[in-house]
Amino acid sequence: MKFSEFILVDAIRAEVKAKDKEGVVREMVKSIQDAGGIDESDYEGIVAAVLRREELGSTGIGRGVAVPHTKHPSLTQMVGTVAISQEGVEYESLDGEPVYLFVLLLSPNEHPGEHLRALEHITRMIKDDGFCRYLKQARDCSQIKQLLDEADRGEFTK
Amino acid sequence: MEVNTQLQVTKTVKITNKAGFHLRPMNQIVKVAETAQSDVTLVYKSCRADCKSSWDLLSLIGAEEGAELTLCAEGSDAAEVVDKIEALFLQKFGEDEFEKTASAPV
Repeated sequence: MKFSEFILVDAIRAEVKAKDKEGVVREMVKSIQDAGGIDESDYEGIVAAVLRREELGSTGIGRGVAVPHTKHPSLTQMVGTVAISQEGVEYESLDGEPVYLFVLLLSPNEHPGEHLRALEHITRMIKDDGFCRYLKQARDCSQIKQLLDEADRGEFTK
Repeated sequence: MEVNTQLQVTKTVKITNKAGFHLRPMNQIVKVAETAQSDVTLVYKSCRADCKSSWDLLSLIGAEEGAELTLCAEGSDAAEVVDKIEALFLQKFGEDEFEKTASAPV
């Protein structure tokens, strides 16, 4: 699995404006809509599904990272994006710390294996200290895209 | 199950939920392990993860339905915490109901 298989480059955001969990989710799903990854008519349903998943347990996995995700029947293929908050967002993370780096993953109900592979890829790369640190320090979308490309080329250790 | 005098307990646990090992099962395991005095680890392939550390357990994400993991605990309540975590696997991490609905959030 590679980031290029599900990350929509045009949906990457280096400066999310939202200050809370719902706001960040809305902003990221909207960025996917604007990049053509979902239909406008599915926007509210997908936001609700992501937030419902968060109610089952925060996807704020600690160290300033969250991986909001859901499956949704409207999707025909996996889509995702990366966003960075320069100020940090209170996200009810497992370690109680604010979140600066978000990776959103939306998957169709079919092919649960692919969804799991994408989550595996995201979490494996996030655990790479160098990759995670550089990503959090990125200040524009091109830097984020470059880091994702480098990860896809195997230029990080894990 | 093997029990020795050092209160070390080891069991093989199998992933039986269709969604596999993802964030929610991980969080459930951490919550149980955190309450134990014992050291608790899960081993899958070449990964050994401390069950009290969600960051550590991230390494196991991606293990699919049918995968077998080795659960180890060492300490005064080793048997108890192993039983509790094994129960989570056996109960499919409570995902039975979700698996019946097409819009299950995972």
